[in-house]
Amino acid sequence: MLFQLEDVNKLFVHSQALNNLTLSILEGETLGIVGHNGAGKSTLVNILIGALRPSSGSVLMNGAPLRSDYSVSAANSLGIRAVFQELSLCPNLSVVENMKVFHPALRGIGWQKKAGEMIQFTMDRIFPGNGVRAADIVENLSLGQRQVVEIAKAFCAADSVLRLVILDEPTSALDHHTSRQLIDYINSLHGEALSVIYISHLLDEVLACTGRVAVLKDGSNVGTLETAKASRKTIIELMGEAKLIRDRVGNGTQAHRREGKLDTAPFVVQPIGAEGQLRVQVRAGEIVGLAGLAGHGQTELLHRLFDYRKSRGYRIKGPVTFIPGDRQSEGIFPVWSIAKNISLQVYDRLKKFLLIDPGKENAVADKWKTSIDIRTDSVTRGILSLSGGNQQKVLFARCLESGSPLVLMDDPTRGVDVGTKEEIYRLIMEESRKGRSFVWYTTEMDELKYCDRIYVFKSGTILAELAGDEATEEDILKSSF
Amino acid sequence: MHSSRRSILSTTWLWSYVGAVLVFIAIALVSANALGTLTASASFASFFMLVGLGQMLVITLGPGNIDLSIPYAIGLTGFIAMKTMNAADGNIAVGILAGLAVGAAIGAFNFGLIRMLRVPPMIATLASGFIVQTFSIVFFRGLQIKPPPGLAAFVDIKLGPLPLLFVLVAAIAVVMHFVLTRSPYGRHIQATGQNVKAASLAGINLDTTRLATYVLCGVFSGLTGILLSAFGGGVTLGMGREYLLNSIAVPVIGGSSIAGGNSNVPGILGASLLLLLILYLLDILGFTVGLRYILTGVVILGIIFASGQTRTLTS
Amino acid sequence: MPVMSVMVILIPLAALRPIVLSYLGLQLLLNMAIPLSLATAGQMFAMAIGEIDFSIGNLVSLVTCIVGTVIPGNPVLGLALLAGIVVIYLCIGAFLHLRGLSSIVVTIGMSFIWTGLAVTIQPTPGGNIPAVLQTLLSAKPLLVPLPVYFLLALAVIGHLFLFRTSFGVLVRGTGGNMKAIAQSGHSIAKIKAAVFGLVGLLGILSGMVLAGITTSADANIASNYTLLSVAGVMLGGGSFAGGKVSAVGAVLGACTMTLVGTLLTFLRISPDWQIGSQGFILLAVLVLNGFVQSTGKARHA
Repeated sequence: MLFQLEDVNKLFVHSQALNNLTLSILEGETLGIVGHNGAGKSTLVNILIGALRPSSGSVLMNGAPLRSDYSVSAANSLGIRAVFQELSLCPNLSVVENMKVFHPALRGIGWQKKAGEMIQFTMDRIFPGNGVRAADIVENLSLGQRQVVEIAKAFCAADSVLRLVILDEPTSALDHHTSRQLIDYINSLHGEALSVIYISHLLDEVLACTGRVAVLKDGSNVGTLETAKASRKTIIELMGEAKLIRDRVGNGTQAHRREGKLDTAPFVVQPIGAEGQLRVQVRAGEIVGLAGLAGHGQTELLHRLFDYRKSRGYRIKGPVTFIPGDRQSEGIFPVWSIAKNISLQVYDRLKKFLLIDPGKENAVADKWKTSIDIRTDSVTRGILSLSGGNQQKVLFARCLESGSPLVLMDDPTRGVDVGTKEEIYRLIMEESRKGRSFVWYTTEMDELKYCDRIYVFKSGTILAELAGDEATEEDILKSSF
Repeated sequence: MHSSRRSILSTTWLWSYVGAVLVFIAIALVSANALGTLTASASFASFFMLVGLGQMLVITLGPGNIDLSIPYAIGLTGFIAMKTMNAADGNIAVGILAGLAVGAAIGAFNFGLIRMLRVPPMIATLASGFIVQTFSIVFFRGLQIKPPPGLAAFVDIKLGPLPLLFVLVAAIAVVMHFVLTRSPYGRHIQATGQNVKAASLAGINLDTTRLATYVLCGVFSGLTGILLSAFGGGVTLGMGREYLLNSIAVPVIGGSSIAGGNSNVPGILGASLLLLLILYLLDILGFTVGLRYILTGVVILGIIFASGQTRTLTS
Repeated sequence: MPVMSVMVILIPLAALRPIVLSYLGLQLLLNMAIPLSLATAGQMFAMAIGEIDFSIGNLVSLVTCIVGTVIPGNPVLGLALLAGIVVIYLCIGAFLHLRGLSSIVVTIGMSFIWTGLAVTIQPTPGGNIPAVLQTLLSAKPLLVPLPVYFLLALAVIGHLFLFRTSFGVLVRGTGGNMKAIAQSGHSIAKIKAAVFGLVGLLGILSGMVLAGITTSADANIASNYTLLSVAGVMLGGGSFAGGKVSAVGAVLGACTMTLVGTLLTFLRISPDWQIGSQGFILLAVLVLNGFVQSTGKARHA
């Protein structure tokens, strides 16, 4: 057994990424790992390659526990690597120079020739006819070709024996023919001592090249299937339930059924032109959910709706306000107080004799402090004095105070504690009852129960539109995978 | 980038006042005419404050934003203003307008370069500074233009030990303080400097904010050019040269964050006085020009190093 | 583009004064390209890792003063000062990474320290440049004048260093994707320190050569080298994004910037316009660069 994980937990500040995960990775096997958002796949990979340490539980490699100095470079020298979706190549360097960076052992006179031969051999072995040469500059290659280089780089062993190569959505940038080549290559490894972990949402690929498939859900391993005996249906069944999303047990607030229909409310977002594809539309007072696997086009749509004046695909009743999910890089102004972080979009209302009146500003902030319980003793304190969840509440206050009829939300409850989440859900429901519309991208299945309608995204397009009342988890999974 | 080091910065500007007092005491100990020195310092401090305010606005926009054309803008605006006034008191108003307009135009040109050519501000303003200097050289070299007597007298008026000029500039600083802290435009600059993505998502028009700021900085340079010409009895090509370093030193020592988003107007006043008093003290003690340069450079570097964020050797 | 830009300047020059193509003519034309190309090479290394040295002009001037005033009287002190400068540059490079500082502001601060030192050592131009430097730089080798040999050598050495050594790869990689380099276990602080040390060294060499050619120690002699070196790197195909530099291009760029001044003189454009012309040229380079980059992207997208 190459790796054995038992009851591994990984806790972050406000979430549990791994929850008593038990999994074994055998020598020489190709193991598929599938799961929805938040299943714990990235966390698992990061623990295997030494980027993260588990909070508790045991991780054994070849029977022995991981050393305390286990790190990414240590893992690399032990022959354990991962290929992620974000490319780790230097675009201004050539392919062979990138090899040099990745394998410090390649040095001395003549390193270029040796490295060049090695990478060319591997690229041609896995992807015959790929057309990439070792001397090519990476930024001149297409996205698919860069992925070819990334994958080949991982399968190159300069100075150590390769034990485990983890591929995370490796075919996302590859065309059908090249993806096929990768699958064939992985199958050809059968019998060698190299293990491969294949993570993908494309279940057909997983079924084509793996020996076993582990299904992760909410941080645990809910079942490992023999690929020979598995099918799309059985995998999806393991991942999710046929129960109505509406009835999912949350930790408190149940979604209220809407009184009265919204079918006749005026449009707030209306697509124009291009019939024949599913496009988002939103009526006043609706909560529309954007679902599907993370990073499949939901955020891009939100940004397109936000730039509504430039966007020609939609007729939008503005103004529009945007609640970001990554509050540190897109939301908060770290030097400012809580009150100043709230008042950004309403300066006109706060003026007295041409200047902003701090009294009025603080009054607005106090109003929100009480109504959504921002836990602080004074709104004049710096925003960094608040917990993450409360900072997110400040962002909500900012956007809701603005009076915009349309509120776009980019996975806004990321990293927020459970109690605050409940408060946020209550707030959204209240506001929608007053006639505000929400377009809500969420990576958590649970949150979809608050939505009137749900659009499921896959690879940048909307594959399904589901009614909030009738959608099941299975429906969503079927369209996501 | 802003969180943990705030404590140092937020008190630095107070220290500039403390420092100024200490240096003044030192001057009083070694010189017979300490009060006269104070008056002279205050006059020159006015110019430091003006360029410091302008540069502070630009720096507040965020990392990478800086205006290196200030010294040359001072020269050109001085020339144009004085030429327009043509030593006649009746032309003072027009001359001032002309000088400020040229300053604004230079600012707009700077922003145009940055935006259209997508070039880092330091390169754009460096290049534009050279171009502005060329105009000064070509059109104005060798011309002797005296300021109108009324204007020259105005900048010399003293209210007790304090020059009127200083009081005026201090008043402008007070106005800028309110603009920065309590006007939408001021909030927009600060937001842009703290978190440009968040500012954009919060609905702030980044281009308008940046354009207005570079233009405003140009206007401040223009005002400096006009007043400096009047004060010095004429315009010289190298008039603005000293002001580049000091336009950066003043906000930094005064507690404005070099990474942007955190401007500090009261600190500008303290820092200007401190720098000037140090220069005078060094002068009285017989320190050379060179040492003055070195010292100011060292002080800036010290503050920048102190306000940076530590990264461990292994990360 | 770099070759083209040199030709654009050289051809009109030759047309106006055919005598420039003679041995002596070329020597005079290109003599000043030697120190400028050294400074431009230094700037190129800084820009390769996504930084900039705004003090290089001031440093070069300072070195002329050290060479002209300190070394003749006290060679040990002079050499110690030069060594100290390299050490300071090493520290700057390391601290830029360790403290997350902006190289613009740090090097602007340094520029005034260098100028302050220069003015203290040499308040007015003058000095006594060691004869050995002067003779070295007035050498007249066979076939082509000294500058041509020198520029060729610099371009070749620079290119080999950047593109054939593993350190060169790391330098360019750091400019292209610093995170990838760090995650592969390399120390960014060490890389940046070494690069800035190189910048300081090249600045020192530039100052020594400049002193030898002009036989003058002057605290302001190279004050426009900062602008010229940036323009030269960009003319040579470098960019601000970091990682994309060319040693050959930088040398050619330095030649172009050197020749421009002469061309303007031949065209009887008054020296008053020359300073501004450097600014115009930098802007023209930036516009062209923008064009080239955007069409290049369109082609490969």
